[in-house]
Parts: sequence; C-alpha cells; structure tokens
Amino acid sequence: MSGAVDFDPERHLEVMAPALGLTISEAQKPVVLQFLAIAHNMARIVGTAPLPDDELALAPNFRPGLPGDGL
Amino acid sequence: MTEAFVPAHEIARRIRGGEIAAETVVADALARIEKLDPQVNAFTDVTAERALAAARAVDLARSRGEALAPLAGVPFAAKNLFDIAGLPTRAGSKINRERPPASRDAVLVERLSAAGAILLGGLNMGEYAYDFTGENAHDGPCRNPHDLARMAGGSSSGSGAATAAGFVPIALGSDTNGSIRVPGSLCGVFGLKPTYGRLPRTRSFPFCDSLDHLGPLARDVTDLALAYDLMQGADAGDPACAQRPAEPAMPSLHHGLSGLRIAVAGGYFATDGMPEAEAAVAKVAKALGAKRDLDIKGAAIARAAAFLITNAESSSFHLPRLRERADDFDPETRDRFLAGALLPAAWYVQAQRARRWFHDEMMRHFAEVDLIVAPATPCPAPLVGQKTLEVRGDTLPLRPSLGLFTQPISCVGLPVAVVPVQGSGLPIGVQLIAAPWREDICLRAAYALQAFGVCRAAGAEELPSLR
Repeated sequence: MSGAVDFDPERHLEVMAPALGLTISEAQKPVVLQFLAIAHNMARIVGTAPLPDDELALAPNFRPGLPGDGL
Repeated sequence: MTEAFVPAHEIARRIRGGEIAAETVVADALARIEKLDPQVNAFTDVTAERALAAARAVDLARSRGEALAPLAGVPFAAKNLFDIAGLPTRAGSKINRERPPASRDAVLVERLSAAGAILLGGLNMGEYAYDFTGENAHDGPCRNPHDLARMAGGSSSGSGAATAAGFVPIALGSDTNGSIRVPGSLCGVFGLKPTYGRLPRTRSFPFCDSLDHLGPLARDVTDLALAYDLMQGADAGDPACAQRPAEPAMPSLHHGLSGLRIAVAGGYFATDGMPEAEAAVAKVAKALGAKRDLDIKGAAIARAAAFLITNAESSSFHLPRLRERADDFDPETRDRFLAGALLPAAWYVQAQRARRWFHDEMMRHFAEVDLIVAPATPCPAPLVGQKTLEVRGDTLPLRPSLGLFTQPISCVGLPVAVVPVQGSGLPIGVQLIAAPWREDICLRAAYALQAFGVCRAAGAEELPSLR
C-alpha cells in the first residue's frame, strides 16, 4: 500500500491542503507534518496485514432498509 | 465511607426505604460539587435546578405510595457530548457552544432518567473526544482526584474524575479508542465499553462513526451492570445500533468464575518495562486463575487501523470547521485533525479491510477462551502537561501512546470492562475483554474481582486532596 513508495509529508501537504480548501499556517505546519508522518507509519503497519488480493471486505456494512445490522 | 461514596444501588435502596430523601441526596451531591469541583474541574455544567426538581418528584412519588424506579434518586452525570435538554452540546469544543441548546436529552440520558436516576450536569472532556489526557484548552484540564497535579485521562475525563471524586456514583462516557478505559484506569474506577452497536448513540455528538461507543463508569460493579442493563435496547436513531433484544448482565453477575476459560494477553500486550501495569495484570490474572498466555497476533495492525480510521473519519466530519474556524480549535486536537483531513483514501480503505481481518482473528481466539486479561494503560496517571511517555525504552508522544493497549480492542468492537487496581501509589486499570455481545462475562469477572477485594475504587480516606 504505502510500501516502497516514498512519502514526503511536506509535499503531500502542499498539494492536498489547497485541494481541500484548508489553510495551514507556517506555525501549524511542523506539528501537522509530524502527525502526517505518524499516519504514514500507521499505514505502513496496516499494509503488513495478510489481506487476500481477490476479496474486498470492509468492516463497516450497510444494509438497506434496516436501521441497524439486521440481527 | 462518607455518604458521597455510597454505591448507587444502596442509595436507591435507602430512598425506597425512606431512610433518606432524594432531595437530600441530590442537595448533598450538589454541595460537594460546588465545594470540591473547582479543584478537579470535572463538571462544565451543573443542572442544579433540574436535578432538585427531579429529586422532589421522587420524594413526592414515594410519599404517595407509588413504586419507585430502580435508580430513583441516584445522581449521575454525562460527558458533555451527550445532548442535555436546554444546553448546547459542546463536545469539549469552543465552536459548539454557539449551537442552539439541545431540545431533548440523549437517548441514554433519557433511559437512565426513566430509571429514576437524576442528572447533575455535563462533564469535561477532551475536544471533540480526540484525546487521552483530559486536558482542554477551553475548559481547563480535568484533574485526577488521586493527585490534582496529574491528568484524569481522556477523553471522558470528567466521567472518570467525577466518579472517583465521589461527585456521582455513575457517569456516562464515550469510548472510540479507549476514552472510557483510559480515564477509568487513571482515576481508578470501573468502566464498561460495550460491544460496538450495543448502546444507541442517538443525540450524542459524533467523533468517529466506525468506532464510537457509549458506556457507563462507576465506583461499584453492581452499579455499572445495573446502569448498563437499564440503558440496553435498540434505537432507530443510530444506524449502527444492533437490532438485538436487551441481554441483561445482572442475572449472572454473581455467578463467579466457574467454567470461564481465561487467558492473559501477551505479545503486543506484554508489560515489560511497565512495572505498575505488569503488577496490576499479574494480580488480576492470579485472582481470576488465568491458565494460559495468548499471543494476539495482529494487534499492532489493529491499533494502526484504528488510528487511521479515527483520523480520517473525524477530520472529514470536521472539515468545514477546519476550513473556517481552525483557530477556534484546541491546538492539541486541531493539528491532528488537519493532518487527518489530508490522508489518502487508500490508507483508510486498507484500514477498514484490516479491521475486518483482525475481527476474524479475534473470533478464532474466542473459540478457545472466554475472557482475555490485558493492561489498560502503560502507566498510572502522568502529570498534567506531560508531553512524552517512556514505553519499553522509547520516548513516545504521550497523547496517542496512552491508548496503546485499548485501541486494538475497540478497533473490532469487543466488549471490555476496565477494573481498577489500587497500589501503594496511584491506581491503574486492567482490561477484561470478551467476545462480541458477552458483556455479561466481563461484568461477572469484574464483580468477582471486586468481591475478592482485588479491584475497587478508592474511598474518601484515600483521596486526601479532596477533604
């Protein structure tokens, strides 16, 4: 997933923040970048889960017509 | 034991029996809050007028010979992300104070009120529940009743502190990644994070839809089970709430440990280098007769998945506020929300896939064991303002690290009771984890530990700063 891909938090922030309409000040930037780096590390850990490549089973489920999980 | 530390079920018995008036109970609790809460900072709103009116109604009903509800006259309070009629639901934030007052109580507040319990007010919390410390830039830090220089833990900080301080015997909190269990551990009280989907979240302010749970904290296990039972039942207002009938825990609360297969979580949950957590887990495991260790593979993946899901969902939810009002956020939460808003969608989707995978892994474990014992926090309460934590020789940022042991469990929605071990210094909690929908097992074990004297909340004499 994030695997061998280089992730540059600063470049990511510079591109994504305006795309989302966010203004991140110079004062806020260092801590935001720190958390982006933590999130990237978490994505790297998630990427080690032995997930099959022929199945897409997300945890949340949606069952039309029922307010809950239908049990 | 002073009157402030009497369990809820005993207060209810005394009121039913005419030994004490509900108005006296509520007035005494309000007086204690007025006198001592300025030091603790557990309450953000005290609903005194409403509480006294409700108490007088209980006394009037009794004087007329009417049957009283199970918790008639018992004080409780709710984290300020629960709607309380007449108050804006601030959810720990500055921005939400501008919202119109709630027109109706949250469903769980209504259910406890229908059982006769009396709401004393809203409780302090970390902003928008994104917190493990109990610190809050707008309302000030919630302090630990055991040592006012220390944090209460979050994000249900006021819920942990108000119960530990003897302000209320029962409080409501929320837990997305550990926000009932962390303050339960640091403040030394019992807490229950039920199975995801068990208790309806209707009319509470959301944090992360995939992982938000609501539940009770209490100083006494019977009170915890009673409150939990009285709040059960589906509600159509919460799409995640399971359409299951109530499955009361009280009937089996006293059944003891017979027949339960109990294991201690190892591997990721190992407590080497964490002496207080290690001692607490060992004490609880011995008392429960835990027979084996269980290496829960994938816990680190589950924790990482919970981190990403929380970061992405909550930040998307707050995106308009982040665009327009970023300076009005608590800086400690704002910068995490800003980072979360920028996450690639693939990270989030993979996290939801990993969550499904880890759920299935845990279900395999529950074919072999009924209850898993694990640490709740790596350490007892840190100092207010502390920014880092030493974990196994590494210096880590404190805010995310306090949830190290709680996050993998809530990631897959398992029911957990946190039980307090009182050491020679500060208390620390232990998690009792069961298979989905088996809150009864968590509470049964918690009750046994309380009966053995292994786990208990502190009495007034152990809280010298609150005399």
